[in-house]
Amino acid sequence: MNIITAFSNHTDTQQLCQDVITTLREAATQYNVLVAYFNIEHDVHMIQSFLTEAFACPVLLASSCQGTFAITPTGEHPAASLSVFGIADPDGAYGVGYARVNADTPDISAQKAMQMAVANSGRPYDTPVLIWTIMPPGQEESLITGFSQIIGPNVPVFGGSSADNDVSGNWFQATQDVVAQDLVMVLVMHPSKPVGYSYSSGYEPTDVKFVAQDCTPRQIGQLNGQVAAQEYNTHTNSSIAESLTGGVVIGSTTLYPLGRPIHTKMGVTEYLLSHPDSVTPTGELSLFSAVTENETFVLMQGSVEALVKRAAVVAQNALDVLPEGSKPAGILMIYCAGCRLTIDDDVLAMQNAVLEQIGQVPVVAAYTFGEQGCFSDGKNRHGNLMISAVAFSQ
Amino acid sequence: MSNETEVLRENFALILRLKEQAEALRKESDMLLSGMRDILSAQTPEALYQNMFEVFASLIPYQICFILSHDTPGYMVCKTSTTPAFLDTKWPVDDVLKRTLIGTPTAIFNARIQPAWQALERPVETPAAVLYCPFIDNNKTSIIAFCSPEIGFYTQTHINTAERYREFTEQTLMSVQAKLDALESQKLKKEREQVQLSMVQSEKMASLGLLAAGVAHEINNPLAFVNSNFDALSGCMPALSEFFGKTQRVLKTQLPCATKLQQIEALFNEYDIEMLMEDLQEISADSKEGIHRVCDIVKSLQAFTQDNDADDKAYFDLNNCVDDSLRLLKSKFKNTVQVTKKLNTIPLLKGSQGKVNQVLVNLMVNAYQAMASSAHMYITTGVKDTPNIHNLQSALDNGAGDGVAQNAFVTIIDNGCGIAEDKLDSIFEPFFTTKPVGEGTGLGLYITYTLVQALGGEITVDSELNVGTEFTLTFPIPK
Repeated sequence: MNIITAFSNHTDTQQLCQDVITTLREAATQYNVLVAYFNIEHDVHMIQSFLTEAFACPVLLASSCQGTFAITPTGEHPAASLSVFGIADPDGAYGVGYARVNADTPDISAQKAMQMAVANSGRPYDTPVLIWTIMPPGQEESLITGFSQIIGPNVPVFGGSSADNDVSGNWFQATQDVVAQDLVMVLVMHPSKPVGYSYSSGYEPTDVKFVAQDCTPRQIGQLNGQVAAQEYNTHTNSSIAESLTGGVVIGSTTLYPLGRPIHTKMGVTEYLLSHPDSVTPTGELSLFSAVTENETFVLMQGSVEALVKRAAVVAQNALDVLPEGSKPAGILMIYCAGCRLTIDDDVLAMQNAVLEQIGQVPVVAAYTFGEQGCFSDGKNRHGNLMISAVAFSQ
Repeated sequence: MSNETEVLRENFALILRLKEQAEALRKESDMLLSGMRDILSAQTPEALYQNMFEVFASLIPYQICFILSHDTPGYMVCKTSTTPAFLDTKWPVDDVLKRTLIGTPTAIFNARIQPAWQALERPVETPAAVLYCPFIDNNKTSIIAFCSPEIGFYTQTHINTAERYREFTEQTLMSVQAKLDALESQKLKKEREQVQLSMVQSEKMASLGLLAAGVAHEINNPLAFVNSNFDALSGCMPALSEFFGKTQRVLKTQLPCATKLQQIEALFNEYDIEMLMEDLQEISADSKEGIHRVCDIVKSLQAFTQDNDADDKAYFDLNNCVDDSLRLLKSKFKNTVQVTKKLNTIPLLKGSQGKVNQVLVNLMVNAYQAMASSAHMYITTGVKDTPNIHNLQSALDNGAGDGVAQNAFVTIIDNGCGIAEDKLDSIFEPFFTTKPVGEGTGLGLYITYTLVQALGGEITVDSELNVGTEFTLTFPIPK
């Protein structure tokens, strides 16, 4: 198995594509699949067209918030305009499937995408080793459920929700056949060599606990019996004081997400995060992930320093769970766009921390509006402000 | 907020994960060892398979487990399963099974869409997830299939486990096969023992049949003269009765004693009582002798037919056995075979008297059948020193002279037609006979050999064509 990563930061889309195509062609003659992330400052149709014309293999293409992260043998960039993760694995099997998400029956859409992916993998009956997914933000939990209805709940699902640069809904997903904004895409993987993965946040729990009430799927009316926005504001150093009667708070809440305790069998508690993105005029908190009535949250606390260092730790954790003696081939990562926006210019420090930690292992990371993955309990989840990594081996 | 707490938490999680892995490995090892013990302790094929499947369950959870072996080209067949409905189902080798056969374990997330399941001639309950694992069985690749009702139940973790324990699985199945062979061998051994027992009984009954006429003669002769004696006795009874009646009447008269004596003496003379008493004594002694001869022949018959195998403490007197056997054959040998016995003192030997008698009768009958005119049979018993093969190795190891033991022996020598040299090696084989078709079963000497072996003894033969044959039986003397 060989992983080739390529990136370009060229302002001209044609040249941007040509740069990565050249790099990819120089490194390998055939690929099983290309996973590409781009900045929506470039035209998705052009990128899709160039890549699919240049390579016969399936392509998954999605927009990433304010660029993408790449480490290649010849250089690295924390916010490249286009990054491609090429998998050349003649002994492996890979299949891509997709479907437009029907807002009323998202699980059915996910089923269709999964069925298409397993059919295209060349191993239509085999349980995949791992699923990589790209989704439109909004109904990720249902999409994960749809996947499990076809292949069961035990196959690890990793990936992220496609993002734009300003949460205006200008995100894209594309394959070799289609470009859309509501596409659920699935990459079924049967790598010939072992993979390792890690799913984590960079936040610490506080002593503050909230019980959520008056909940709609992604909105909380009350926390601890109080108006949700006010109660949240009280415990977060007035982080959203200026938006208590409505407004986007995504930038103000990044360091204070709500955490769901996940008790793993090893006795260590992990936290699945929900990120408040806006406040309604009546004080409800809107989130990037679903909540249920009477769900208990722990107020989490983060820092720029922690978020900067976190990506390196998660990447290393993924490498650590590869079998002993495995040689890393590359890492495909997801880094929450909220965290990326929070660390802002420190994204270079984040990249340097990764480089320092894992060396010149090829990496591509997307900055997403929602992260799918599984903790050590093996259950697939959708969370916010999470970081994940899938490590491939040679 | 410090990132150190998060790092510490993750390190703690990593340590816990490693500890859990180590404990899981230890648990797996313990479980597998105890599982192996369970497998090897099974006493029936059914228990064996049940134990084997339980061991597999400790590795990989399943609802149904079955094994596919090669059948006809393009097909595999289920010969072992936890669910009887799967037995003998025929499986087309589709892409999934083919990949499993030539590669590594394969996990199927939903068997309901797999062609092999859809193509089954006999429908069975189709599970959701299946894990197929290849293993080498008798130099051929077979497949063990684990089934779960949950879609996508088997993942890479199970594949890794199956890979890790592939060698164990193969060893387990080899052990199962070996155990099955052992069980089959035990069964065959029991059946063989039964057949042998049956053959020994049959041969014994055949010998009895052969002896029956002679034995009947040996019983009839004394019975005939005992009967004759009783007839004679009956003939004397009226005279005796009359004599006693008249004597009583004389004694009851009032005559003087001298007169009474004269009259009684006259009666003695009249009835010739002295002669009568001599006859009666002779009749009594003859009858007693006749009854003894019948008793002896019956005892010999009992000794021949008795079977005290179960008695560990049974002992026999080899000389008595020779006498018993000769007694049974007395009628057959009378006027045809001259028997010369030289029976030396021998301690009691351990074993069944009936078996020894059967052996001796077999050998004597064979000798009788091999001899024509001027038949002469020599029977010698005694004790001799012979190399003790059981102690020979230890004697050599110890440098001690404990390689010699005292054994009892009996030789039966005849001057019959002898056995050809090229036949000597085969005479103890079953169904070997030199007699015409229909006259010999070919089992006599084989059974003789088997019985001597069972007694812990040895049998040897020395023969020269047209000169005679010598059989020697050797038995260990108990310490």
